[in-house]
Amino acid sequence: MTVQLFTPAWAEAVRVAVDAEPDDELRAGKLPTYWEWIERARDGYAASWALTDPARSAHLLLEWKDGRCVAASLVDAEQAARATYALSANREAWRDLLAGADAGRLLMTRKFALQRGNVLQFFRGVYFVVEALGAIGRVPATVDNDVVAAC
Amino acid sequence: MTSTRSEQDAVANSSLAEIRDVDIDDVLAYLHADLKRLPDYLDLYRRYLRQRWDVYELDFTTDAVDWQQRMTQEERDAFIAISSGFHHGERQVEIELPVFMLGGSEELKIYMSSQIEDEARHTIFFDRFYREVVGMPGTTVEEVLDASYPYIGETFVGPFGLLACQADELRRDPEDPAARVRYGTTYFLWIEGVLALSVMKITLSYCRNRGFLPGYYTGFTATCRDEARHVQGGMRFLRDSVRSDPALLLEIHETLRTILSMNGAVSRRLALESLGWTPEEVRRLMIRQLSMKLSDVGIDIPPDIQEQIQKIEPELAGG
Repeated sequence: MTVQLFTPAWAEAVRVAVDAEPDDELRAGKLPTYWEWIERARDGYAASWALTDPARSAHLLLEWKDGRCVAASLVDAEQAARATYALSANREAWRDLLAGADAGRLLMTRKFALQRGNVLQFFRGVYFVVEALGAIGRVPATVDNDVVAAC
Repeated sequence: MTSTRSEQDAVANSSLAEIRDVDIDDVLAYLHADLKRLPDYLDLYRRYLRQRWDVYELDFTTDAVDWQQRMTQEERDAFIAISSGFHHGERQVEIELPVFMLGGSEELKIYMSSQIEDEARHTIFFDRFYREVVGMPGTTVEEVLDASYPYIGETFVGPFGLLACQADELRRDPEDPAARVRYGTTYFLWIEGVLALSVMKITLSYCRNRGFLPGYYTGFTATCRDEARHVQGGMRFLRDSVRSDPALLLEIHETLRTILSMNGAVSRRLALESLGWTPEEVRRLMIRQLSMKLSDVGIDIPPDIQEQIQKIEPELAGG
């Protein structure tokens, strides 16, 4: 089912996607050491991420506790400002993510830009974040009137 | 890793044509010999003016024949996986360095202008290699970068994404000493001082031992000589920063903790053996590169970071 970006249905689908373990196909594409690193980073992980599209003033807040994504909600700018980390991406970047673009490259090239948060702490979990962004990109969703197929 | 004075003079003074005869070990010895005294920024700028080379003078004709007819598929795969990390690394540092130049002394700014030019030239070096030797498609620099991106590992985003975010921190306040030291630790100490020099040693040793890729060998050895200036300038920056405010040592430590904590995430196996290296040898090479810089510049490291250093895993990129 395809949902609209930054709607409650999309937020819940994102929560389920990022909370899930990677499937066998995804795991097979990278060495076990990579996934073991992510498991260690995720173990006990507690933080909140605000994912923002500034043009539409839309904010998705993902809350992590004990390594699980326990809540995903659409919030206002004030609530988003209280998140541990804030990542901002314009419509084109969201479209790229949903089209299957490499999430790590989007982060490195500031298409998904870390706007706020302790940089050194953020990077101690960076591959966990990258894989979560990838999982968000695989949630079938529409940007404006576009329908972007999950890859 | 020792070399005679005449070997170091050969490194310092070789033209682009002559540097083809220089051994990578002599370039690394040349780099480390000056770490103890650390030339000042205008010394390095003068050296840059003498050592600057023309990337368009390189001839890749023989390299293309070697690539297609003499190297095995396994060698090509390993080589391209490693050199792609450098291709993108050069591009990343080329665009992340200008913000560092907004702060610091006038001498540092003048020297940094030369380093930015170096990084742009190195990006063109890889662009030419990928087009003319590997045969990657693309009519623009960006298209060739896009074509080589799939060859780099997922963990490339660790150090280079960190550098991008640290560049953003600097953009907000280019004179912030703590932000400058964190940035300098990632860029000058880790990316240039450890990752880049390790890749250089591995690929240049392979080329020299097998007698392959003379254009690559020439250009990349000249690149390594450029990196010697970069590492020396970077280590001078870190040393001077800590001398002016010893509390900044803690910023180096925190940055190293992050860098080393990311290091264990290996996502792809590199067939290093086909280039004449074992993973254990690469691991030891990286530990040695890091330890030598820390020791020569006098950066003391607490036990927890020492422990992290001993657990370093092979990670191959550069810039």
